[in-house]
Amino acid sequence: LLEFSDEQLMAYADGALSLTERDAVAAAVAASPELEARLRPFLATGTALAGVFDDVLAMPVPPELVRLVNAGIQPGESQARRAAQHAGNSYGVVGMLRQLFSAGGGVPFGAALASWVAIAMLAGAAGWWGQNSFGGNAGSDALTASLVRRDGGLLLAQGALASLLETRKSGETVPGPAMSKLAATRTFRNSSGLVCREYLVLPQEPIAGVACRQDEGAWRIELHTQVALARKSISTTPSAGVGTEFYEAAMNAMRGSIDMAPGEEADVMKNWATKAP
Amino acid sequence: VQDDVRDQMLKLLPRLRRFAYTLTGDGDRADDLVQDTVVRALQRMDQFQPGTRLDSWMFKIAQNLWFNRMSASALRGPVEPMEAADDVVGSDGRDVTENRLTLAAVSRGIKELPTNQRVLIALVCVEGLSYKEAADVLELPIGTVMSRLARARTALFAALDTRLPLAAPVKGASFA
Repeated sequence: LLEFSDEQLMAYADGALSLTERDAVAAAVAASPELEARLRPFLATGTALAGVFDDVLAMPVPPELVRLVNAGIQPGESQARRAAQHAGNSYGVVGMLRQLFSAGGGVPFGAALASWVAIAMLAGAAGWWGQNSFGGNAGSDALTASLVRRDGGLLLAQGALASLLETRKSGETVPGPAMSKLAATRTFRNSSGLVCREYLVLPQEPIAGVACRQDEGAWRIELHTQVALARKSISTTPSAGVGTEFYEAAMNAMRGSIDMAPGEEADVMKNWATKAP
Repeated sequence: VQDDVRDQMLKLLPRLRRFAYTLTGDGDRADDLVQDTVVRALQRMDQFQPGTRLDSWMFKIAQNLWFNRMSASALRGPVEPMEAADDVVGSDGRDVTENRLTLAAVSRGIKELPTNQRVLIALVCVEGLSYKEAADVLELPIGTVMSRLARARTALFAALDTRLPLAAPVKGASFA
């Protein structure tokens, strides 16, 4: 009896084999109940599945989608920028914050934020971890302190965060200090042409931020926000006013371009690796 | 955007929604994903090569967006309630095939698969792309696509079979 792989049986079920191969599989299946049983999952999950989703296909397309396509956005138009903001805000850091805020019952982002006890903005001179001025607890301050260092007036990524931004592709999760998990979630070029990445750090008190890679290879923190869910307080680096739109404003100021595709991101990172400072 | 591409894109919207629905298992999320995909596609129209397939190109954009969102969700931990698949549109249990596969059952089965298998089910089984076309969308070798898809379909079948015993063995494939 000829041996057939699952891949061959699948290709047979999908009609993707050559005539000769097809005949060979058909004969073998007819002769072997065992082979027929192995073929069954592939027959049942072929075109039959498409039919199951026909209901979705038949649903009317929302008019706003049709309008969007008809409007036909050209690169550089203000409409394109608004649309890009919309897209960006659904995902990544802003998306995460929205979800965190609305997790308690779908309260709108703005309203939820306005009801928070404190939104502390850290001025450049005041330390994230220095004065404890924003009511943070020692544990999460220590986590930020291990990931971010001050260099004159700048904040720079260090340790696990610097290594994550420099070497890990978006979506990859790595363990960080104090039982935290770190990941870069997207990569884009800002309007100055610098490569920037959003990152998340998830201990109990989530951190979301953006860092841009400087020419000399350091990762400058543009935004670093820590959310203390239990105390309903947010701490963030300067760069935006306090208000419901502060995050969007900060993100939009930074994002001059659209996300890199995974291939482009990989190329950029390979380039860094070959000429490491 | 050139008129012919715009027309193509309009015609593609229902399939794009079906693709997004297969990935997300949820009508609202699917429409969010489609909207963001369209915006992204319009912005990047200069990167689309006329004469190549618009559907593959847009599926690629959609699945990139979805993967990014899923990895951010994975970091946060499970957020999707298990009963979400019961809310699906058209889950009225009507018979779709002789195998009594329903949208609700299939959606739930697909949701249990790893994300990289889900996207293959959506591309090949639901959208009807060839293995090669799916490999191009995902930028993977075709061998990887085939072995991953075979695993996905075996797992999906097992999940469906447990929950909803498939009535009768499907008789020979239609081309036989």
